[in-house]
Amino acid sequence: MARIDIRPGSRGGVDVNIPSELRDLLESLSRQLTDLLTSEESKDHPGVARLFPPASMDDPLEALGFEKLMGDALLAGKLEAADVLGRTARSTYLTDVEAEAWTRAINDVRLVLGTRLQITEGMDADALFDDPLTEQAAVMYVALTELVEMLVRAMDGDG
Amino acid sequence: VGRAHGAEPGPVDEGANAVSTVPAVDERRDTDEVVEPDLPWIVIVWNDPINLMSYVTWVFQKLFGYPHEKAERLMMDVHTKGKAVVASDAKERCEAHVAALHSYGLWATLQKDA
Repeated sequence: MARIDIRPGSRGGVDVNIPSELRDLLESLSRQLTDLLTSEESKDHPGVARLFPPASMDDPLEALGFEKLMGDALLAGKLEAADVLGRTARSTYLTDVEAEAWTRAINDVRLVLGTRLQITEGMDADALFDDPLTEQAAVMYVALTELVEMLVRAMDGDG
Repeated sequence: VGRAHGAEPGPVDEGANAVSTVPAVDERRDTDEVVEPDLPWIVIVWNDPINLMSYVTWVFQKLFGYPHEKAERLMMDVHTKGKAVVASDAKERCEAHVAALHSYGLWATLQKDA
């Protein structure tokens, strides 16, 4: 993947200089994330489950109550972030709100991808690149990880 | 690849718990109702291998207003101990905290404080 350069903007927000193929990917991921979040078939998808974890470890009723109370708003927030990512994927400047939406949506994609790749603490990532079945997802995961790192750094005010 | 993140035993919002428990006029004194303080519930953030350490630190700063050092200390606690209490409050506020943490993709739960 070519150079990624994300730094604090001179008028707030962040300046985003990334290759056009990465912008293509972000547009595509925005659509895929939206589809995943809204399709009936994905309800039992492990990656989607990771985006909406139970709010209680040992009380299913508590978790269910939370889901009823907060589920719709949580879904709406994730869809909104995905939408902002898609609409602004070509922008070279992001407002603070847009940069945060990028970060949240891209991180959600990382969570889905990482769940699929069965990422574990301290695992040997090389194995993911050596396996043709996971190589492409691993490359994308690493690129999105770099994007999140750089967005967070830029929003913290570090170039 | 993914380094996990953590948070540390959450400092409970020092100033925000100053809820007056003394009504100006206690009109409920004659009732049988026992008014229990709606505390304490706690919010726990669990370690996970995907969310980045820098990201989790940033989320704690953003959601709880912690200075960077404090947010990072909490994150390291989650990372090294597997979980950390990041807030203690009335149940409804804890639910709102958990929802906010879920909106950022962190794995958070709430429970009644033991």
